[in-house]
Amino acid sequence: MSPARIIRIALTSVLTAAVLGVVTLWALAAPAFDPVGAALAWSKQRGEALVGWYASDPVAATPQWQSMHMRVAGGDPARGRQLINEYGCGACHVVPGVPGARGTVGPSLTSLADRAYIAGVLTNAPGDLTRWLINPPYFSQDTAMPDLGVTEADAKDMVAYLYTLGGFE
Amino acid sequence: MTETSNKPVQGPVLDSLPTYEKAWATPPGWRKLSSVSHRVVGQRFIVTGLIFFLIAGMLAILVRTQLIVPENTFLDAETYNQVFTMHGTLMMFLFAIPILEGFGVYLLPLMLGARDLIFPRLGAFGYWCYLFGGLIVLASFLFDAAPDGGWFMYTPLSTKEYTPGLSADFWLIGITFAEIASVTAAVEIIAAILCTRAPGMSLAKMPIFGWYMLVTAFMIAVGFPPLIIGSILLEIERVLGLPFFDPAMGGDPLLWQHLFWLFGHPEVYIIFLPAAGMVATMLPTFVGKPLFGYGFAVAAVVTMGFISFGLWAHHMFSTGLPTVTLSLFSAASTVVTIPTGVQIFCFILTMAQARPRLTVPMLFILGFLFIFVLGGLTGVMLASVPFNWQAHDSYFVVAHLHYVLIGGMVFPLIGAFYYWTPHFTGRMMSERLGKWAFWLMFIGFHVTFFLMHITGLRGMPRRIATYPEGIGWDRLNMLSSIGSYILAAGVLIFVWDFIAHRWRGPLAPRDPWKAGTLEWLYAPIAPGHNFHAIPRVHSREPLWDQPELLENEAHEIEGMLRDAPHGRRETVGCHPVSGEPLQIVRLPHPTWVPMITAFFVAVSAVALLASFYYVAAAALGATLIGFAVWAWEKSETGQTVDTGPEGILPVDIASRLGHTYIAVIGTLLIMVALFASILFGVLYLWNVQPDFTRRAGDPDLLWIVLAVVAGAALTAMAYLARRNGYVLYDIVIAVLAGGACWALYQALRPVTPDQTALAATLWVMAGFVAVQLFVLGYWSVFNVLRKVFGLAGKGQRIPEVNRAPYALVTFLMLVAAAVMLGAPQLGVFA
Amino acid sequence: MSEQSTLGQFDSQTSLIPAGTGAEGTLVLTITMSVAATLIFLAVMAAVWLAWRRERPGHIWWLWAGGFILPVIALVALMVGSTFTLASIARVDRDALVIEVTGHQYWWDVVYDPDGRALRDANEIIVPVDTPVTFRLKSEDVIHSFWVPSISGKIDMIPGRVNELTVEASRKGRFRGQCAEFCGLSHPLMAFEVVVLEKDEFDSFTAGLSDEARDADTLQLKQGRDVFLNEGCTACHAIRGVAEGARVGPDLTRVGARAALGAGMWRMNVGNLAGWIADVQDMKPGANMPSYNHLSGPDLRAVAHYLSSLK
Repeated sequence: MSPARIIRIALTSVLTAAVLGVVTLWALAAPAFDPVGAALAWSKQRGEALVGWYASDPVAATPQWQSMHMRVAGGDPARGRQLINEYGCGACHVVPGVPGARGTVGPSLTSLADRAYIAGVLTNAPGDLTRWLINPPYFSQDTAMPDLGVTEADAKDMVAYLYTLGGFE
Repeated sequence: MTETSNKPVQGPVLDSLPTYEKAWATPPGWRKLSSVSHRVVGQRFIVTGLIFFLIAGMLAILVRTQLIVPENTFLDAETYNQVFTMHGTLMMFLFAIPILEGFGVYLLPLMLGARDLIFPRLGAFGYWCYLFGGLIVLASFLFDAAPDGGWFMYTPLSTKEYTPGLSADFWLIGITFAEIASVTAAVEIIAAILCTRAPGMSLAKMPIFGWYMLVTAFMIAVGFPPLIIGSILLEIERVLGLPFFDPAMGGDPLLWQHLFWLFGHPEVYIIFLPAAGMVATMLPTFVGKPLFGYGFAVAAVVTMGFISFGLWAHHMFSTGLPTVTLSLFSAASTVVTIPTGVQIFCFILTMAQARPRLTVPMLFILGFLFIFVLGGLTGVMLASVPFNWQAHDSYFVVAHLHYVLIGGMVFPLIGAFYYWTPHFTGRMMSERLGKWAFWLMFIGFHVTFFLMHITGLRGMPRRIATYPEGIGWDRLNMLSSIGSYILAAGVLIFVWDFIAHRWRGPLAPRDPWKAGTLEWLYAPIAPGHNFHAIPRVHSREPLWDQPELLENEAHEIEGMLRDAPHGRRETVGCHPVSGEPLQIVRLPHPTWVPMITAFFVAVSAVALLASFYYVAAAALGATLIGFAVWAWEKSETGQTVDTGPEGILPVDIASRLGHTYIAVIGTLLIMVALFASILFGVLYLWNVQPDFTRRAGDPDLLWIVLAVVAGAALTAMAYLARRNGYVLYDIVIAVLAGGACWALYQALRPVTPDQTALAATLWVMAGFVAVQLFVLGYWSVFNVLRKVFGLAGKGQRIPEVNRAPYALVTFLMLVAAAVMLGAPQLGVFA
Repeated sequence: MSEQSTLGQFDSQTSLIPAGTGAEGTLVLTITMSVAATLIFLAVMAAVWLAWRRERPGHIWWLWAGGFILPVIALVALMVGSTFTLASIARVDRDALVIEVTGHQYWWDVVYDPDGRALRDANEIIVPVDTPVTFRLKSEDVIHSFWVPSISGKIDMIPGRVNELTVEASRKGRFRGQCAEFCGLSHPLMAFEVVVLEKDEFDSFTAGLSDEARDADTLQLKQGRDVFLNEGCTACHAIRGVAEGARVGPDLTRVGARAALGAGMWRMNVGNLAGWIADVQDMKPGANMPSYNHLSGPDLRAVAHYLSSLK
């Protein structure tokens, strides 16, 4: 065997073993351990920042008033998604991005951000939506949506997630 | 090279013998459908099986796509259940067994030195049954009634109460219909291997593939009947409401599981053995040396055939069987590793004899060794009861069974495609694409299925359409799904190659792999008659050890039956053991009868599904007429043919060494297995709930005795009739058969079948004996007609010789049924 | 017991981290067999490799060694190990605590002390730690299979038969179990939870099981109870002290105390309860309960709050 061949075989084996090892570790690890997801998120964030920097043209840019007023101060969309799962919203509503949320009892929350009113009684604004989630029957006596005992902090996070569903972002 | 010379040519066309060529020609155009030649029928089986494989594989991709993320909504639960049910059903019943039988049908006569399979029309009939049955099962998708109870159809989930509608009926009727193909092919393969080998080919000189197929055929004959009986019982329960599986009426849901796995376990070996036979055939070719330990391999295969019938309960370890039973079945299950180990080491030691050539089929053989050994080891783990309690019905079992079936069957099969396709098409498949196909399949397979071992041990059960997020199965499933796409890509490359090589592949030379078995005697494509003259064989690898075979042009080789001046299809019939020529077997020419007969069976099955019972009965009647038309031939027993080097031989001898007699014995084996399955049901139900034994009323003892007497008289007549074929014997036998049926009916009249499961099973048992008696009666009446119309004369007594054992076995069944009917009230076994 | 359910809990349903004597014994066997299988596999592959490189026939003794001796040694070892494990985990303990579990499409009926007080609950099984417990397993309709991987292997529940499984949980915690025999449309949605408690906690739990359900003490809860009584729920469901006797569906006396809803499939809270009542057939296709989508909004809310209050 020529040295080149030996080196090639050794390199291939090492690479294969490395790939197998990484994949196996990833497959067996708990969901909290997500180096791949973290790496993807990091690169996406850096990439977007880079693209944004090149694309930014401070003179031509106009503020996106519509999307800005949908922003929830202090809301964490990722935690909101988790909470939507835990409060059981999916039993009644379709919520994109939340596993198993495909209920047809209430309206689908797909592109909620585009709606004008909530349940026909409140305007679709972060404050109103938050208050609605905390106590729906207070605003609409005949609604079938129960008060789930949502705290204000939880409601804010869920609203933050719900406003990611829609045409603005 | 010019355009024309680049086309593969079939056979040498010899202008000097036009009648001969004409006798063996396949009809052109659409009339090719009437061909009954094993080459045509075998290729039909193979191509149809491949199509079912692709459909079932597509369903598997749907399953994996559904499971790629948790709580997926790609398929709803109902569709998912249909998809996994049909995946298993198609793979097991409509792909694996038929395609392997197709290879057997195609290759056996070529390897054994025969011009056709011994019952060509039966083979054609089997194919049409398989096709129509498969179409019925597939058609359930069109009616949105696809079976969704799993390929195992456990009761009571599959009973009318929990599966209303037609979905389960589609499964039961379609699959039972398709199974006709498997059992007819089994009889045919048994008779062909035992009766049509080249002169000098004793059983010890038979190519190893013949042994594998022989054992497989016997296993099909014994293994399929329990499922056929189970399906019939379940269908009766669904349609007529008889309570076979209802515990409230003395039935037991576990009876179905016993019958199903009595079939289901041997089934796995039925799938594995022919594929292993292919490996044992291909491997020596690439090593260039004969198979190491031929005798050991044969002994191992035969042993495996026997052992496989004693293991069925290891699929039922979690049903709460007693611990002692568990331990026994556990030990028995592990014993099967010994014959498997012997075979694997035969293969390994074959490789040790010389450096093998690394061709594509050889790659697939290595893949087979790698995957199958792993699957076998996890199988041994599953034989351990405590481990089985954890792993049973989890993804660990999914991983194990795919290791065994894909490793043990699909890899050798695709290797076999690369190996034998030149024989079908005259062109070689691509080495380059073959390597791509192999590596994609090999890597994709392990990514998909190796991880499933872990998924299973992490607690994921089988057959679930969705799984919750975050409990440890998400990433494993995602990787498995990705692996399945890689595996599918490999399969698609193979399929593309299989299609495209017909115009892209280089022409295949004579004996392209330097193999030693007879099928490579001609340059591809061999002519329709397989052998212009059938040579004497002195070794297991005649092409290696008899240089004269390859030195000459194939059609110039010395052998039997060189000339065929009368324009009839015929081949040499041999002694079952020694292989010495015994008789000349006349073979049928192309005919539509098998197709039409199978069509009537299909009409009957569809009418049964649609509840048009009169149409079903009429079609069944038409089927019987079809069989009569089929057999309405002038007997040729007593004629002689000058075979050339082996002297003058008689045509179609009426003897216990004759091919029809051996086929009748094979058929009786199936019948006995069917009857034994019913008997098992009777004894089982009696044992499980003895207090139900006499609740439905007692049979009439006097009529039972009368039935047995009639049966005894009938058997005596059948044996007397062998000596001289008086018409009177036939008439008396027909009358006695009818009388015995009538007596049986009278005996059972006091028993109400819908009262208890045991009573219902006794009715089925009596019904089966009645069918046997009907066959004897129909046979005898047909015989009378043949004699009256002068088709069978004096001394032409094949039917009489063959009927005698049939009558004897029927009589023994009658006696067994009588004992079961009379015993409860006599308190014999109390 | 109103702690977090096992939903989304990593490794709550694995046989690899045992919490019961049955699973522990089996895990030792699993690991031993896996190691042995790996070694045998490597040996056979090494034989293939050597055979590939060799160019003259091997001795027939190799066939005996690989085909007979190797399997026989492996089998004897396997049978010995397996039988000892079986003997240690498949024991019958006549003094064990008995819990009867009956499988239904698609939920689990649980009866504590079936031969005595017959205390009924559903879909959540509470067992004391370090105490032998015999599950008496039955089925009301089709075949189900009772499987809690962390605690023990599975045994089928077969109509017309009674199977028994004796286990002993070895540590406290909450473990997920699931039906392991295909049982129809919603087979994947038929899970349950096993909660392992200290012996005294268990005793106080069972003592509480004979109590009547919590009173409806607010206007909304009273409305919810009236809806429950008037809408026909009592035909299938029992709530002790409110409507007793029905056994078609799960007992709801302490439904709000269970961590999961719908046989271990959703978190127990008012939101999921309301969605469940309004559209069962969407959440669990083929379940025997109809979707109650004709209730008025306030009625639906009230009954959901009422059920959630039953702890």
